[in-house]
Amino acid sequence: MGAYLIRRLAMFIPMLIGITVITFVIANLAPGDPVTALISPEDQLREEDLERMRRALGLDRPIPVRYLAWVRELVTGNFGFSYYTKRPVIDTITPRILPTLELTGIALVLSLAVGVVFGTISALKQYSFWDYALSVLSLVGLSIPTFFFGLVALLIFGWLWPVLPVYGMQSFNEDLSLIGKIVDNLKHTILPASILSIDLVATNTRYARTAMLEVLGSDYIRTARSKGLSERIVFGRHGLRNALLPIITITSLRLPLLLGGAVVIEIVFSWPGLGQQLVDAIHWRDYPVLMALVLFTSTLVLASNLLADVLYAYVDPRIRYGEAS
Amino acid sequence: MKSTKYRFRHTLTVVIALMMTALIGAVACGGDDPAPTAAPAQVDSQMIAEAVKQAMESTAGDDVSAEEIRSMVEAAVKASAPESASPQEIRAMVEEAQLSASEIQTMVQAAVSAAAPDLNPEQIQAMVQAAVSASVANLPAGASAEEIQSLVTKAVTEAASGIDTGVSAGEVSSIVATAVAGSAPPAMEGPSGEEKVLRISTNAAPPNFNPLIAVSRTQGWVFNHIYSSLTMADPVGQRMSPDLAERWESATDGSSMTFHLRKNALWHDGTPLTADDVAWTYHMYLNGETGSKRTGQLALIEGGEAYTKGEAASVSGIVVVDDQTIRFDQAFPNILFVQQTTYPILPKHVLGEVEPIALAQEKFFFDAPMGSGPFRFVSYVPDQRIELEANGDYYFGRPNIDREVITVIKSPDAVQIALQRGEIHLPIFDGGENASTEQFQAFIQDPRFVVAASKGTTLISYAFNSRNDYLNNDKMRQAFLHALDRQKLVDTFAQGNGSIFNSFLVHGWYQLPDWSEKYPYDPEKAKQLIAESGWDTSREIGCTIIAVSSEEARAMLRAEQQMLAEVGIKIKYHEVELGLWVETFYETYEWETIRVTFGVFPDPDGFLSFHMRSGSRNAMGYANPTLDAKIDAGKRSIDVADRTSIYQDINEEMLTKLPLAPVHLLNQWWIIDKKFSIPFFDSLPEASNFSTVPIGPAFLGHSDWQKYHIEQWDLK
Repeated sequence: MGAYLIRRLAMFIPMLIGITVITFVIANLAPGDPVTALISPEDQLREEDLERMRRALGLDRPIPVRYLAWVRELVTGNFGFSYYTKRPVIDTITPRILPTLELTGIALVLSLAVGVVFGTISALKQYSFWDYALSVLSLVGLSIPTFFFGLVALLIFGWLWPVLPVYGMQSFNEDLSLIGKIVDNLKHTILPASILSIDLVATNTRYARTAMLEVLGSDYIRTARSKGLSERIVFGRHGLRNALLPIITITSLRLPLLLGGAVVIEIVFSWPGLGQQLVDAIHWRDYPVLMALVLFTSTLVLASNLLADVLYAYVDPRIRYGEAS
Repeated sequence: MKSTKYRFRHTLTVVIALMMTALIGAVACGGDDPAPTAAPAQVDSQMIAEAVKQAMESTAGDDVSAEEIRSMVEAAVKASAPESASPQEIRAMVEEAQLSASEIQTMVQAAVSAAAPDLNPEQIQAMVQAAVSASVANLPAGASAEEIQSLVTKAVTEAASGIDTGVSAGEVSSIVATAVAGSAPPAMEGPSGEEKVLRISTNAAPPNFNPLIAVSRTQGWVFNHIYSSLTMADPVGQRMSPDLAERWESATDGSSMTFHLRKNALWHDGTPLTADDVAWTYHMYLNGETGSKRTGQLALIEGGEAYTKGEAASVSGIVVVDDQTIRFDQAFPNILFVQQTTYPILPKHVLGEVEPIALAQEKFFFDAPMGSGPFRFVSYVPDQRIELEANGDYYFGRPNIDREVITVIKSPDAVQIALQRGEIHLPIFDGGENASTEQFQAFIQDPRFVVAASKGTTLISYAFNSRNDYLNNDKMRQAFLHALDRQKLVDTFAQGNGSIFNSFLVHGWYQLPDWSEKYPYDPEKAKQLIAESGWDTSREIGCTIIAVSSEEARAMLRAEQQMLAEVGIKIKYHEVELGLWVETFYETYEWETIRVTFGVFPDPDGFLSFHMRSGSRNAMGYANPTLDAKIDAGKRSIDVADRTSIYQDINEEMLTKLPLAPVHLLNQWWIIDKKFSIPFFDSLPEASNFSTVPIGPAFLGHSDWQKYHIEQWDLK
């Protein structure tokens, strides 16, 4: 297992290099540049002013040289300065990591819990009213884009029945105690996190149902039952654990989509996270921030794929990495 | 005996008249404010006392005739109200005075009863009330300075006629002064009662608070609150108005401009603001290393260009005369420089030691910006919210609003909800975003909100790339404009809130009345022109546009496309992203026509020198030596009549040649909670539907009102 982990981790480096090269080249080859993105006609800048600005940002050098310069900065632990805000990139990004992790983390937990429960109910009560109802619901959840749910939620909980905050992640009420602040923050999280999770809940429901049905029909369940084990143990120890395998795969593969969905949800609910920042970085051609974000999210995705494999081994003792072949 | 009575009566008349005028003066609080620490909407006891005392000293012992009083009042009104004050302004001033009418009443009453104990209280009361209410409260809307003056005089004369006792002028003076000082409301400095918190939303969090490299409207909003500048634009008065500079003058030959700074301007840390700060800040705006975006505009200053290029250690044209005086020598005689004086001034004593190249990364611009404006910076949580607090030492007086919170709300739908829930008073939309038509409709109908516009500074038009010979066809271009039913476009897609203009030179001062009549919708004439022009009606011309964000805008494009097709001009839109559009338009010139939204410059020279002259951006490729000469002549002329005829001449040419075909001017709309009182909008009528949305004037731009005397804003 240890050797396997090291090998997998070593694979990260070429993968990350590949990802960053592709992103860097595409971003830089796109027409327009950071200087044109940052000016308006009223600025009355002359050609020589623009040239000076480009030189100041190092945009006069060829793309490969700029990429290498970026890598050199990176190796020295420095992400450079944002073209747009002029802050150090690290200072721009770090305060936004936690909000995004909170949002996606809660959405992930929610989608696992709700999805597995829904899927299990569907499977146990196959062809019942509940099975059909949940199937329809999950199809609806999968087919309708997240931002639409976001807007509907704004309308319902922001206006018709205004019980929840619809923007930001805190109310900046100085009078609140620490617990009050946490509750306040959770109130802000309810709408964005649950809407972000809809898509994944729907997927998980479908997969959990299928997996559960397959498992329940397998020989070892019959064996377990014939041994006289109680339904609880049959279902809990033998059924659920095996049915979880595909869910883990799906969840880890869906993580990039979750981060992508967060971009939309963060805009709809003014959530101050990485997603918002990604949109801004693209809009302003803020390459240093964009590259740092790409690096961060791709590392996160690679790590989650690895985590899925490790969890596989944990959930299913039959799987042994690196020894068989 | 009779003469003593007569004298007292008139002395009292003068006292009351002076108190009125001092009050009006305090409210007006213009550039030449006699006691600049006064808060405009409040009565400053010391100031009134001082004014009364001075007036008494100068008039004591004299028999003052009604004529004299009249002229005194007239002088006072003139001095305190700016010369060209419009009726709205005067009305706003008087209306603010009305707030404190009861305070004055009490003060005057106390003073009079102390001075003339024999008078019966009812008499005094009636007299004072008549005086105060007649002169201030019941003033008709839109009254002129003359009207105010005659009302005040009349009321005061009437009131004084009932008094029948003898006290010397000196006694009255000292009694009034004491009484006024004693009875003036005590809590004038700090907030009284509940804290007034102004809540604003923005859809774009400001990247930093650095005016040298500013990109967004939200930054502009914050700059207006925390920084001050030499001057500010007065949208109603249509001129530049004093800010840090209490007055300025241009050399008669236009070769320089001298600004006199007010003495009581302080940085938020208490340090006095001097001409050195201004000089240093303008150096930074001209310094290429700071990333400044003003180097082009400020090249007007002598030696500015050499400094920007690094050929000189300092700008030879920026001359600090003394602590309160700064002179800008001009690269060539002009009267344009004053429009370049609205840039925020930065504190040299904080930033002066920083290398220009490192300035943009300075913590100051992220976590601790400090200026000399009406509000102090408190905190900024990036992407979430900005907090500001009132500056008690502000030279125009402490703002009425105690605190200001700017919250970042990205989605326009959440903004609508926040407005309706009463969580924000005014939303700012940045980066071309705005509320939708439906949203504006909802707010026009909601009695809790005001929907008003400020005069548009964006003119939408089609530009032709004159580098393509086949597009250099005057008749085809004229047909293009005749083919567009612009009024219908405005009515259908901008709900009537748009103005049709026939040129990029839109300033009122040189407009000829028949220009607006040109190019009416006339498809027959357009077809005829097309036939004469030899235009190949099968040719399809591309039109590069910035990606459209709303279906409404797309529908407008389709309507225009159809109108043009009807007369034989086929166009095809290519939607591209902003950065690419800018590059295509300004740098690669790979376009045939472009639908462009140009900002309007404060002076016609801005547009001409920037877009139309050889060696400028000249994106349309229209520049030619004859036009260059005219542009230069206009730029360098310091005579308004001369400039008027130059710009009329240029505009006539543009109206025939049409390097651009203007469609219409879009106004900037605002949704404001009625609790939030801004004098600029308060004076406008209320809208009942789209076509009656009032349009407030603009001088430099549609955001003029955001900078103009912010301290007068209030929350009800």
